[in-house]
Amino acid sequence: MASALSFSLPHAGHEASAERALASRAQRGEVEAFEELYRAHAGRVFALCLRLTGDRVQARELTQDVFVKAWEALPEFRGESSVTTWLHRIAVNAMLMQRRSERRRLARVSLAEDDVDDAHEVNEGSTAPVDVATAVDLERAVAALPPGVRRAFVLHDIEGYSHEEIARMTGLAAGTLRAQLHRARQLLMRALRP
Amino acid sequence: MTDHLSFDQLCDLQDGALDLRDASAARDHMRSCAACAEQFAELSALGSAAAALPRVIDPPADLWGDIRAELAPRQPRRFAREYHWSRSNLVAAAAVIAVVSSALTAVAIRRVDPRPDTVVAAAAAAPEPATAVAVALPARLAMTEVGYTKSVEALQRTLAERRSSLAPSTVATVERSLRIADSAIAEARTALAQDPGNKALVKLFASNYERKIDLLRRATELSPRT
Repeated sequence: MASALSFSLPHAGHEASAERALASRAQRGEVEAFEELYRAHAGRVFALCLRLTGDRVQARELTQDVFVKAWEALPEFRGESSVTTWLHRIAVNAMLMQRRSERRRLARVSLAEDDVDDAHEVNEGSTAPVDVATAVDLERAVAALPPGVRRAFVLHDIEGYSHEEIARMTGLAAGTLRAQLHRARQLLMRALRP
Repeated sequence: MTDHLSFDQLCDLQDGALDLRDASAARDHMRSCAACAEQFAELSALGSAAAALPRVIDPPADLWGDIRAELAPRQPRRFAREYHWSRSNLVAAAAVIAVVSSALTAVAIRRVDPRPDTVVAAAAAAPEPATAVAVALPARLAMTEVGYTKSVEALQRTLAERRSSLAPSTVATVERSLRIADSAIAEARTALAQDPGNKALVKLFASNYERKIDLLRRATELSPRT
């Protein structure tokens, strides 16, 4: 399925070199060039953030965070991956950081990712059932997934990253990732059944 | 394979994660097991639907403005610019900053304050350098200003080192241009202190700093004895 796709090199040569030129100008401090990069990538980054967070307000904050971080990290960008992949990596890291901060804030100490996901799943029955009738409901069902399994599903089945790429982005072990992905599919199939 | 396929096996089959022998056995099983075949079809449909979701969703239209206001100025790099600016360019640039900034500040204030002239007049009456004006800004803006100030200071040090190589008239022009830029920053700053939630003012404040930094950068790139 989607895992066979690679988004590491999504651009044709000309487009990629134009993008590198833009990144290079932005590295020199040209905000206008950075704005062009923003205009070219904001839609994909926002879509990713929206699906990772499942919430429009959080997605806006995360997208803003991604581009501010990208600006700060631009001097280190070497063009070894596409700008899209680079921005997606920043988005995933920013989301992980936000979740860690939130966990600290809630004083839930020493919970591993899976434990947190399980905690969400335990409460699943108490949440309102997902209203599924049309294809749009897939988005709603994805948004209702517990955060960890949602991330696995979004990155793998929607964005098309391979297990290895996701493991590099998130630092998750392959086994954990596989379990989260399968769990996400199981929950979605259950939610989407008429 | 007599039992039903597990959900993990079905997922692995879909992901191409089973070796050839296991994949072949799983497919053989599904030929004679309607339940597994149906579940695999459902799984495949979910995968297709997920892959078909739009990759692009338009962000809120005003998001760039918020991002722009948070971008700290980048430290200048040596050899970043190959062109040189003349004194007249600097004067013109500073004049543009002053005129445009004042006009924009007035417009931004008018959007929310029925008595804009009072504020603008107060700002114009105190054209101190922005860093010297002790008007409290919201924490986020204050942090942004710290970033700008660092860049300004670094450039000012570079300019001070080059000062003796520039013609006295050029130094005077640069200083006059910087005073104009500072005045524009102070004006926006004063207005912001009174209306910290005004996004147009936030942008103006940031862009005034950007312009001052640009002015300084250009000044440091002036040819000796210009």
